[in-house]
Amino acid sequence: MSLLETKGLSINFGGIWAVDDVDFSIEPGQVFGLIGPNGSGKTTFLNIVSGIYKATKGKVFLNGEDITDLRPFEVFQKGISRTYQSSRLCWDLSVVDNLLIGSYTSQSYGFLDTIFRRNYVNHEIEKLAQHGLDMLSYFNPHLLDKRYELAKNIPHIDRRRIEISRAMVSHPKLLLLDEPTAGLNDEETMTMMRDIGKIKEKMQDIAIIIIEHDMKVMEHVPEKIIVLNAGAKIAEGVFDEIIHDPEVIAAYIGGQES
Amino acid sequence: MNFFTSLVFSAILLGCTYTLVAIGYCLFFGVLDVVVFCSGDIAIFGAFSIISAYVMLYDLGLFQVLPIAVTTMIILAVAALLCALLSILTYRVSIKPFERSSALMPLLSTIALGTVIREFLGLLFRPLLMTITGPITRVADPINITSGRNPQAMPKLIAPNSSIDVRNYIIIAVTFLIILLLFLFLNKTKMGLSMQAISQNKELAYMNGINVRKTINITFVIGGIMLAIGGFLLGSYQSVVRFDTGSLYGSKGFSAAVVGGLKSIWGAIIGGMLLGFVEVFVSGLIPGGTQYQNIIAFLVVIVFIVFKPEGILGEKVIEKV
Repeated sequence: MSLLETKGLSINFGGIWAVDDVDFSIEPGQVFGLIGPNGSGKTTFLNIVSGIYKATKGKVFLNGEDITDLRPFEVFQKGISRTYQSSRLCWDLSVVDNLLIGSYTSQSYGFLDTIFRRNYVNHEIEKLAQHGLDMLSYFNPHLLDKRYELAKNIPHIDRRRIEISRAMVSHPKLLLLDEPTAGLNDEETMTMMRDIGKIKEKMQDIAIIIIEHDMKVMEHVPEKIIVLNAGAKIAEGVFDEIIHDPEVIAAYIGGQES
Repeated sequence: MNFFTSLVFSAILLGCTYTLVAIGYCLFFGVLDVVVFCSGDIAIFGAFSIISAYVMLYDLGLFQVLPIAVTTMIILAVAALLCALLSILTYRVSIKPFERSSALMPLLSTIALGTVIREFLGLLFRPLLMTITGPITRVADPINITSGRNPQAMPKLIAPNSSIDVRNYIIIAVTFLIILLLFLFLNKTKMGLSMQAISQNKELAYMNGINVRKTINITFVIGGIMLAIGGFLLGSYQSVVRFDTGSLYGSKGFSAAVVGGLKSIWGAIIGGMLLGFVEVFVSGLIPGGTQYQNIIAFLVVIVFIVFKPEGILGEKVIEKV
């Protein structure tokens, strides 16, 4: 059984099919890239999977369970976590507070525990924070020294690392990364792709979907690449197959060069 | 207690009543970025709920059967429940339908709902008001007054047999206890942390496992309870409540919240106290100053927002082109 599977996933915005009949599946531990030119439906696809948009047609399954109609916080609690193209940090919170936002919702302690079992609750929260900080220091050991600094004072690439670490705190089964290299220069982009590779060293069973519009970035990580154009899936395969696919060249690379 | 000390004491007392309403504004604004302008009226509704519950318990003869502590708890619980329901109703009727509209819509609709609450209280209690023949004064026997003729007299639930000074100490202690409990709730419980997360970034909170809708509803329940206690303390402080004071009380609570920094609870406390001090010192130190206390208090608010629009503890927002 696939970890995530979409069947005929489609969404219509005012007569336009932004995502059109997309079948997709990913197994635990796999890293896929989702590419396509601007407006091809990549982020919309992610938004449907994460519950922000409701699919017009088709279904989304997680471990065989239909999650199509779940709301975003329920999708998160099922084990799908994500980052965004533009930064979603709380600028006036510290790095560690940013890591912990929402993570406690996955903890089992209840209201009475917060009153009568403070030590247990504190221990649980510390475990979460430690997990996030471990991830963060794995990306960049110096970030550990900055854990109490406000997010607004952190460099851009480290903000990205904080967001990815935050997405990992709740031990997700599937991680969705929406253009994690947006706004980074070439050197930082390569560093970020290496960082994403490190996630697999830390958590072997986690599946990752990376959205990118830059084809050369995809060369470094994904096992398989899915190409969307005008909402539809036009190709699927490894990097070398994709870059030689005439339809991809016409729709994506050709489209960019023209 | 000398004159200056008594002024400080009165200022803290008045500041306490403003602080609770200001915190109500803060909580609502924190989760929705909306100013709930009927908050003052909800608080006064709370005070009237206490009067009604008191009369009802008195008519049922429960004061003869139950200890005063139990009846007081029942009365406060009824008022808190009614205010929580009214608060939720406010969200459902005058805010939720306008979530995707301009910010002006919930502003207008909560002002309108405030008027509805006010006039509703006026209508409900007017027949009894008409029987008043003399001026409203502090009443010695609240039971006779509340059960018969003057619904505006606030029952002396706080230490009924003690002096006004003792009651006032209790009002301050209750306010600080409520604030302490709120801080513990906001910082230690999952729901409190969710409320803070939504206040920081609603979309992010929604995408990180937080049930935003449920959190907003609970915020309105807690805000409603805070306002009920605010109305109760204001009524206890003044001994009387009028159905039409909610508007002014709400304006002062809102001003306190803005002066303090609209998303900061510490700011609401500072703003509430500041307003209390300005009012009390104006009426105490300027001859005939009681008439001018509201004028000067609101002028101070205007001066504050001119020079520090983000509030004392608020964050400066810089709009980038």
